[in-house]
Amino acid sequence: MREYALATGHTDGRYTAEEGDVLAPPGFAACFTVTRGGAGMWTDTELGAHWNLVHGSQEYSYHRPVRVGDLLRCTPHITDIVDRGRMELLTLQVDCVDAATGDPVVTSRGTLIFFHQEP
Amino acid sequence: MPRFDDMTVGDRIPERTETLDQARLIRYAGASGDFNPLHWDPEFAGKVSPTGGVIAHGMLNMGIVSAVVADWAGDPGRVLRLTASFRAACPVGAAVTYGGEVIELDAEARTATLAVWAELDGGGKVVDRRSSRAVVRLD
Repeated sequence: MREYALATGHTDGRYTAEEGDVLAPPGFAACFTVTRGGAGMWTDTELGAHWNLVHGSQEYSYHRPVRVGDLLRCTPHITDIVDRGRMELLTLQVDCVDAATGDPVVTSRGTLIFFHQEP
Repeated sequence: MPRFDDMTVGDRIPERTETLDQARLIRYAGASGDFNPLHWDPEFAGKVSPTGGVIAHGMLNMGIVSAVVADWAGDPGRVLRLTASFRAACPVGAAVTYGGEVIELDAEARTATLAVWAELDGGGKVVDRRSSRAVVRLD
């Protein structure tokens, strides 16, 4: 969280504090929803995910702030795949809940644009 | 800390301009776990990148938008929603300006909806203000 806050220029000291109520910046959800959250896509050989892609759009809904010590359960779903000829648009939703209570914490929805030609 | 009653549609939050050099992209790759070679390998990027070279992570630009919004709001818990629509590619080394403008106020929920952006010097819309939003709850 600290490294993310520094890499993205968040200046609030609560993101980088050594102790106390250490919070995650809103954008930190990227670290557990984008690459890690969608990691199963790369191991599913039938899906055909490859690195010739760009990130089209990304949405986050926050139900509460993320804190140091949180244990989140993140469940990715492919909610849509659209063929646009030379590219395919894949929408990945990741529902992140508090692992202890099941309460929603962050909902992520991202669209990845895969080009047909592999690198 | 901004207050709802002081807000007017058209208000802007403080802008920030940052230069995204290769070290910054590598730092973001390490922090986020996004090691797509498009963001660090010129040979790979030369084959697939829309600019013919290394480009910044869309999510690094969204992350800096998060910083501009959350630092203004004063508390990450006030940010209820953040969306980014990635349009123009952002070449490594580019100077990018980040900002936001209030486009809607909801008096009942005491929330402000902002159009947010990350733009290149030449006007390239890296995070496109026409479809990128932050919803912030204010006192």
